[in-house]
Amino acid sequence: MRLLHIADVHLDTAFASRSQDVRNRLRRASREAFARAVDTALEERMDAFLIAGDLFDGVRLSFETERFLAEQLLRLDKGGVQTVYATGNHDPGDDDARVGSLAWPKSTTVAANAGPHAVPVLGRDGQAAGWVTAAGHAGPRETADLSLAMRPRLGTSLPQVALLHTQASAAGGAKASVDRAGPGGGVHRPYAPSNVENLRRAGFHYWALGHVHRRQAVSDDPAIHYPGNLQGRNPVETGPKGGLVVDLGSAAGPPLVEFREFAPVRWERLVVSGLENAQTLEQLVQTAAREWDRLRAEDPGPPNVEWMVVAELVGPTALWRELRRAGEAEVLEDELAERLSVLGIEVRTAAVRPRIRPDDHEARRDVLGEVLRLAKEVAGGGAELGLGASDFAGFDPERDPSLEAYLSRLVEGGAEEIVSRMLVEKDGPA
Amino acid sequence: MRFDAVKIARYGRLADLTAGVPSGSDKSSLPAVVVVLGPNESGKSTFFSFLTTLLYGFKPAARERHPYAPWDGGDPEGWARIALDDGSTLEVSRRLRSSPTGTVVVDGRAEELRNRPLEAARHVPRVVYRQVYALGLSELAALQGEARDLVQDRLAGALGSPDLRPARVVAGEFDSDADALWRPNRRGRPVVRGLHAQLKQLAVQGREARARDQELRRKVEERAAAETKLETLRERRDAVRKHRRVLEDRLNRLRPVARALARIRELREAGSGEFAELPADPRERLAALRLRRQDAEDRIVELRQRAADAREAIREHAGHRRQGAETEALLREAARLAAELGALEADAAGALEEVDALAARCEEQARRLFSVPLDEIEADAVEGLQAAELHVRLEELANVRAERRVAEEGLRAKLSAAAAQAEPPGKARLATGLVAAVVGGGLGAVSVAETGALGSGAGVALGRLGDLLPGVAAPVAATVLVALGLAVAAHWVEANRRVKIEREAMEASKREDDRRIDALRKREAQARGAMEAAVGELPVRPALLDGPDLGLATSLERMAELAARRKERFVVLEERRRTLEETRGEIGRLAAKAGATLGGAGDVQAVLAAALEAAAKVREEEAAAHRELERAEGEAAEAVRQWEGTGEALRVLEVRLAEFGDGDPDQGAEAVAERMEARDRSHRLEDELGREHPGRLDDMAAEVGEAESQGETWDGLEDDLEAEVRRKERLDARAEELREAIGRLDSDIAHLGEGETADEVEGRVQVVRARIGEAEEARDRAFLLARVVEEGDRRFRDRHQPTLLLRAGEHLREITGGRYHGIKAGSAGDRSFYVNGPSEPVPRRVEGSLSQGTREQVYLALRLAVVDHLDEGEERLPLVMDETLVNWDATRRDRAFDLLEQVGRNRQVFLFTCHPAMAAEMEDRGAHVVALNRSAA
Repeated sequence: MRLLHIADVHLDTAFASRSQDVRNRLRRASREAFARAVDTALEERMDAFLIAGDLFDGVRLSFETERFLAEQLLRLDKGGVQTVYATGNHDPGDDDARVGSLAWPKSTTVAANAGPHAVPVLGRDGQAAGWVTAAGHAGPRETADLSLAMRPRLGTSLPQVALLHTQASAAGGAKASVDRAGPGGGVHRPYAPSNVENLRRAGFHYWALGHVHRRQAVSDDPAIHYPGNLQGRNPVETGPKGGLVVDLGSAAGPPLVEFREFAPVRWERLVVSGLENAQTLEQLVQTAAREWDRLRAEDPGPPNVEWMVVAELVGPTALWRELRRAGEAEVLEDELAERLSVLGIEVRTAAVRPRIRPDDHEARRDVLGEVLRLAKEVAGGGAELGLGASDFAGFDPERDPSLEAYLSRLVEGGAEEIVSRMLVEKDGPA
Repeated sequence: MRFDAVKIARYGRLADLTAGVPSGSDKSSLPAVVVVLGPNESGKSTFFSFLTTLLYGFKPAARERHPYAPWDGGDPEGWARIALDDGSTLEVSRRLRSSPTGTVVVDGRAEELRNRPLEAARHVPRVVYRQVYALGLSELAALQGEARDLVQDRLAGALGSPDLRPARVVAGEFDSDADALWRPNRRGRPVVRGLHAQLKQLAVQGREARARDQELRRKVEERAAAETKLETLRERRDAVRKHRRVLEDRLNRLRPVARALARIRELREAGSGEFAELPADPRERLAALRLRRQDAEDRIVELRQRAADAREAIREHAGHRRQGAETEALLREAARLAAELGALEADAAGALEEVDALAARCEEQARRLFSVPLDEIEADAVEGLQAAELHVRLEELANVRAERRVAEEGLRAKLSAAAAQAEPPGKARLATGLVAAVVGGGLGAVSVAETGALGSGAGVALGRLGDLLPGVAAPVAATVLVALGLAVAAHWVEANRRVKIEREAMEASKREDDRRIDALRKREAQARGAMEAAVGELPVRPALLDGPDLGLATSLERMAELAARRKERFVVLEERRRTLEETRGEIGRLAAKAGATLGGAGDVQAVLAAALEAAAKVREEEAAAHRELERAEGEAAEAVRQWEGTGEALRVLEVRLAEFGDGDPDQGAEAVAERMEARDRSHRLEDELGREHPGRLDDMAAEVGEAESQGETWDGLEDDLEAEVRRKERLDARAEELREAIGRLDSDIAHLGEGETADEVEGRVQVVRARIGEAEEARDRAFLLARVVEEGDRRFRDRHQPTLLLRAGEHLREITGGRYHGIKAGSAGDRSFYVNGPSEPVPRRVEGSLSQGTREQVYLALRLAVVDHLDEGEERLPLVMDETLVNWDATRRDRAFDLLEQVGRNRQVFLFTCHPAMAAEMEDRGAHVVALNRSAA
């Protein structure tokens, strides 16, 4: 049995790019990636097309996307490819506005609740080629371990696949609440958590998982895989994105799992440092372009891929004040997008600093030394400034564990700016 | 620093003012305390400005804009000698022309100063000096605005490093950055508020996008429903079209066949029966027989009438033949008489011709003789003429007349001869003679004139004439002419005399002849009367009577003779005419008896011939009548035979036909004809159908049978078809409506699909939210950094600012007599000062809790401490106090004076006052008084 395993398509994602053209392109990119996956399933005569949840993203499926989805699934139906779709937290089965309202083709099985749903997969010869057991999220905040109820069909030697949208405990370094999975991992809340050991013991030949956006093999034997999301949607979802072609030709050995890139747009993180000597924006752009060229020399990416870049400007620079100025980053973004020939670019300047070293001034016995020492106290979370949460506009207890942590984050790099502002230079403030 | 001496050349209202001794070996310096005394508007402020200008230069540096440009138009100018704290002395002079000039002399060395501040004053900015070192009553209340902040900052700076910007400024910049991004209140237009406004707008757009999505879905559903309806309509329309084709097939193809077949069946049924012995058209045959029989009857009647007519004609012709014989006899007698009538008519005509000829001759003779027509003359008069008598009388008359004529001719001859001989010469001749005489006289005169004897005028005229003649001939010619003229005149007179004598002789002869002629005329008249009597009453033409001759008698005689002969021949004529008329009358009677009308006697033969011809014709007609009678009788017999034959045939036919007409042969004939027609039509229809549908008729008949077995009646097919057409039209219209609706829906769907989708709007929302988050964090960061700077600054001040406050406390203890000895500043954000003392352990806020006098003491203590701090370690700049102590009571003022004396040890103090008593009091304490007054100013 050969199947194509995708997950986290997140159709109708609301992209937050500054440019509407870029937003529209990213929106189309998700559909293009899905269509490419369908093309592959049809061209390579897959037996099944598995969708491990989060097919949609928004609270409401747009009509345009709905039609697109219906067309693609109908293509699979006509091409003799069975589709099994297990719902996730973004597209729960009890949502009448989306999953419940769609006219699914006959060959599409929707596991819209815990089930489990055992679906026989017929091969091209019309004979049973394997089984897919799927469980879906009925609601948006499924907390139960749906994998516990999922068991292989008894009495068959055919390959058996489990399809589930879950936060496997070992996936991407998942933790109890909020997980920073690192580059490409994203933050995933532990909906429908499952335990990798339980999955291993369940007896399936292949676990087709979804939820974690970073592609990863949780286990090789038995095979437990996250294909990652189909199309990167934000700066942390970098690298090639697509689905997994799984060949379970023999139930005896582990399946052959091969990644296929479907995403037409790749996200890339470009860290631009070494800006100490950059005196003009043009020099800064040149530095960024050199770094970009270096990265692309290492990984040029597939032909015709479009790039979405997040350029993080890091370190001391004489241009720190210009870069902080409102609108300046947008100018730089436009310049860099053209220079790098990319679809879009987001420039982050939070990490740039004046060239001044605050440590050199901390020992001063004047007011500057006093202020710098105080800033360090704030960064360390120990300063008493008599400020409360209501004094701050952007404090979010869900994002920052405490006000002190928030202030600590805010004051990061602040010492350099304070020194820069307070020191009198020849013709005025630095 | 101390001003030893000042000299104001011109500055504002001040001029030529000197304080201290400006020059000379016996220099007298101004003391530490200088009282400037003057009433209001006397120039105290001008004086302070002058001191400031000496230290810092002119500001503004343009004369025309400088507020203290002298009123008299000169340049602001002044000089001072200043003793510095290190014991050195400098002299400074400044003048403001078109540009400022200045000179400083240090140790006898002059240096171009232009408008620069004195180096000894640079450590205190001019603005600080003006606001801090000059204490007016109002300024004393508080250090205001920039000056206070500067003081505060400089205090910090003085205690820290000079390379730092004021923490207050830096914190303010952070706060400004923070406020530009977000504010906790509704002031200003921070970025985040604008972004939230965008969010609201996007929320509306999101709702609109969702509504559009709903509408899009609804439209798509509507479209799908419309498509379904349209498909249903198409199916119904196809059904209708199919049914219509069936109907059209039945109507156009089968129904004619069905109807023909039905008609054939009807005709076959109607044409049933045996008609072999009957004619093809029994009605026509029956009518023909009846007509033939009627014709035979009519022919018989006609022929019998013809026979009767022939017999009647024969009788009539016989009568006519006898009557003709009689007529012929009469006419033959008349013809004989008519033959004689010619001779009679010839005789009568001869007589008539004679009469007419005589009458003509009479008429002719009469016309020559008489003046009236003959028929107007009595015949007796003509016939009674006495011709012999008349002849005699005529001869007599002719003789007399001839005699008279001779006499008259003789007389006329005498007269003519006399006239020819006795005619006198004419007067012309006399005139000619006279003219010749005159001309001759004239000519003679001319000749005389040429000799000078004549007058000039005539002489000239005659001279002219003389010119025409030769000179010698003129007198001769004149003489001849005169002679001729006279001769002519004499001849004329003689001739007239002889003529007169002859005329008188002639008159006598004539009178004799006239008498004789008159006698003859009388005789002639008598002869004429006799002649006319002989003529009698006959109207003889007068002309014939005027000159009658014998021929008249002869003519009249002839006339009488002709009249007599005419009368005789007329009697003969009348006789012959009577005979002729009698013969003609007999002929007429005979003709009338024969029944003929004659136009004349000549017609008798023609009438006779006509009568003979008529008789012959009568005979022929009689024969013809006999022949007609024979023919009519024969034809009548034949007609009877035909009538009999026809009647038999008619009877047989009527009997046969009566069998089909309930005993009525006519009805039977009608019925048989109809049946036979039906039978024939059925055959024709069959043939036509066979030709129209060769080889298919049986199949079509089968189809017809099938259709009829299905209930088809073939009636109302048009209505059914029309109903189907209307139904299809309704379906088409409905389908068109649906297509239009689908088109509109497609347009709507396309239009709705063009708008932003909810997720697209949501994307923009996220962009804005991200920007809000970024802006809020940026604001929080700036806000936090501002607080860090402020707090660091506060901590630093808490640690180092007490030096100033301790000094101020000492001043305060001095001037309050020990009641208060401590001054503290408020914590961050609180710019108030607090005081305490032995009796006030809890610091009291200066503003709002202390008396006016005490507050002014606190402010003075602070101000003195401030200026000490400002120039501590530097040149101590002079202090100016303007009526600062005016409200103080004597005790406080004494303490203040004491304090000023202490201050004056290190710093020169200028005390401005308008109170002479205060000036005197200070003068007693060693102060120098500079008196200003309005007039001096």
